[in-house]
Amino acid sequence: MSISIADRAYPDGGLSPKVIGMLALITLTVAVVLGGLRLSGVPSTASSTASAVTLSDGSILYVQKREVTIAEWTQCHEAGACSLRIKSRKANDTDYPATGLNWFDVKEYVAWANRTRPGRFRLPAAQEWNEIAREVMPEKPDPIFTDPNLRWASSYLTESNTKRALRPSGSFAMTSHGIEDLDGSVWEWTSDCYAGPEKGFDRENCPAFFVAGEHVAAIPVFTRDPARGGCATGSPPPHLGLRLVSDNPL
Amino acid sequence: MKTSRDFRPDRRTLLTGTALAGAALVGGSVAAGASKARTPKRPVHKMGSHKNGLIQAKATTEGKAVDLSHLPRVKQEMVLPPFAPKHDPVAKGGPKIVEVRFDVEEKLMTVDEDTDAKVWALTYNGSVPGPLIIVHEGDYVELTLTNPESSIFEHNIDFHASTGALGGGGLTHVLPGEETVLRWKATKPGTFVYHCAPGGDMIPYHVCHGMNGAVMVLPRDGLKDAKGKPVTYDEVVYIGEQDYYLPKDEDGEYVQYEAAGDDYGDSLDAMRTLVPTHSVFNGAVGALTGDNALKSEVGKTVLMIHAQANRDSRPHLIGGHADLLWEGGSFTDIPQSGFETWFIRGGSAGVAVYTFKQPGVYAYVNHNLIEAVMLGATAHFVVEGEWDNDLMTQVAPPDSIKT
Repeated sequence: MSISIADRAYPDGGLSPKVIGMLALITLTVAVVLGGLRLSGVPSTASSTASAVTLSDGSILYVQKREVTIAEWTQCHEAGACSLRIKSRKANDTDYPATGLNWFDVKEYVAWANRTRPGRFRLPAAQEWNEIAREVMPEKPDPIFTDPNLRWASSYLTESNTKRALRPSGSFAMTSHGIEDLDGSVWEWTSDCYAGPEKGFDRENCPAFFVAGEHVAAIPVFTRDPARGGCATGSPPPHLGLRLVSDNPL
Repeated sequence: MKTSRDFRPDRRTLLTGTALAGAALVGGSVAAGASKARTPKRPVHKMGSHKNGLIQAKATTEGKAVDLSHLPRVKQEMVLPPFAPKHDPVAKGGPKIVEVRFDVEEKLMTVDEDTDAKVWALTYNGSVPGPLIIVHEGDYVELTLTNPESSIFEHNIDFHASTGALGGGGLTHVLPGEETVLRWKATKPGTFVYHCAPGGDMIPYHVCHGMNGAVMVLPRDGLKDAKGKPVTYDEVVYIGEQDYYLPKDEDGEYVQYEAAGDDYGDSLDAMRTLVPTHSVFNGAVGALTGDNALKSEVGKTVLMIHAQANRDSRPHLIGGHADLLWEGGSFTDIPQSGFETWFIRGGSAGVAVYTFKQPGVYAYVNHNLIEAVMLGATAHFVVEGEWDNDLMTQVAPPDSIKT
């Protein structure tokens, strides 16, 4: 069950360091929009506006200001590259993030976004995401149990202020870099497998990845809706979506 | 956008169940007239309609006068579910008249925040389920039921614990702006459902919009186990399970309505499928989890009342059991013991008693796990205390397979 995985503690470190190629910037058409950069190759809606963020290791990451929207997703679907059709009355509304996405859906979208130039876009690593989001994140609550025997239950949130309703893009907080909704009701897929090579997993056979939001959760690759309830001992993310990043200015 | 006011030429007649039934009959006769013109009709006999067998009902409207003026009166303050009103597990003194008050409230409630699912709930005192009433066998419940002027609907109440007049339903119809008082004697010890039953399809409509709850009638000398030993408990948890049938539009989104009653036609269509969109505890997905999880301690005994006014359920405490169980709710019966999962018939309330033996998180679910996980029927207990390694030990934590 998803829960046994989700309950595992988030491992410190172990994330592959990112290499920033500052020289790859020359070729592309760049549109500077309100201090951000338009990522060409994805549809020109709000989420394709990116902000440059300098991370603690000195590298610069170009981050979509908003999560990928339903309208963008629908373009991918209509191009035949994303098999999931998002059926929603909000489908024609450019202002809603695309949700209900599992790992395979997200992989298809990343591939589509990179169709003109492989390797340009990727998902953020969980650590990168946390760094970008830190300033808008609520304080982490203390675990409710400290007994090691109760580690399986210790992350249960009894004082969660999770916002669960799906809201239009831009409804939640904005970082000082202009990146929005990191603290919203959509949790974003990261590139981090919930367990590393020491458990025998690489990204190709990883059964669950971390998704990032108010708290980090490991979500099995098939899950599109981490429903609340059952033996779930926590507050599962309400909605699963994505946001792209790039190592290169465009 | 239409409002409920638009479909009410005469609020005080149209909103009674009988007026609606009458309206349906008119429609029916028009259709029958149209078909008559085309098809020669053979007489069709109605099933069960044999005039000679008619029973002449003989009942007097005035029974023997009852004088209860000698009985003490106490007010029972209603509290919000999942909590129970203050009560004595063992009765003190003789029978009493227990006064309770239900104010009807028709209100927009969120069923599932994740999907913006909302319902114009029909409630007693503003909660789904309605408040729990606790009395002792031989006591009288005296209910004041008010229906404010601002209501759209007529309401009433049918107490399964009571005897006569459709459980009181026949004597308690209150239109908006009216109130009524009903007194009934608690002759059957046990847990029982109550619900609104205004007539016709308004009955399931009201019940599926949250208008139901439970009464617990304790034996005067308290609960006993199979050996006649007193059963004590530290707390009562009152769980009302609600099945909702919320209309969706063609895109699969929940329809938002402007006022109570606007969903009437769509709701009946959704209800007719018998497939609930939600099955929840305490009116909403997550109403008893996370911030609202139930709290307890190792060594504490909890009495769990599970009420379902409409549909079968099968409660199960993940990580625990029912030490004692009155599955059908009757305290006249000897309790069963040591259950994993128990059955609550739609239209009944049952009781399970459990003493927590391990700390941690317990999930109390409807063990149709589709309903528990995908429709919302889950509550959590967060239990403090010391881990018992004898009962359970993690011998080897999950790791790569080494053999």
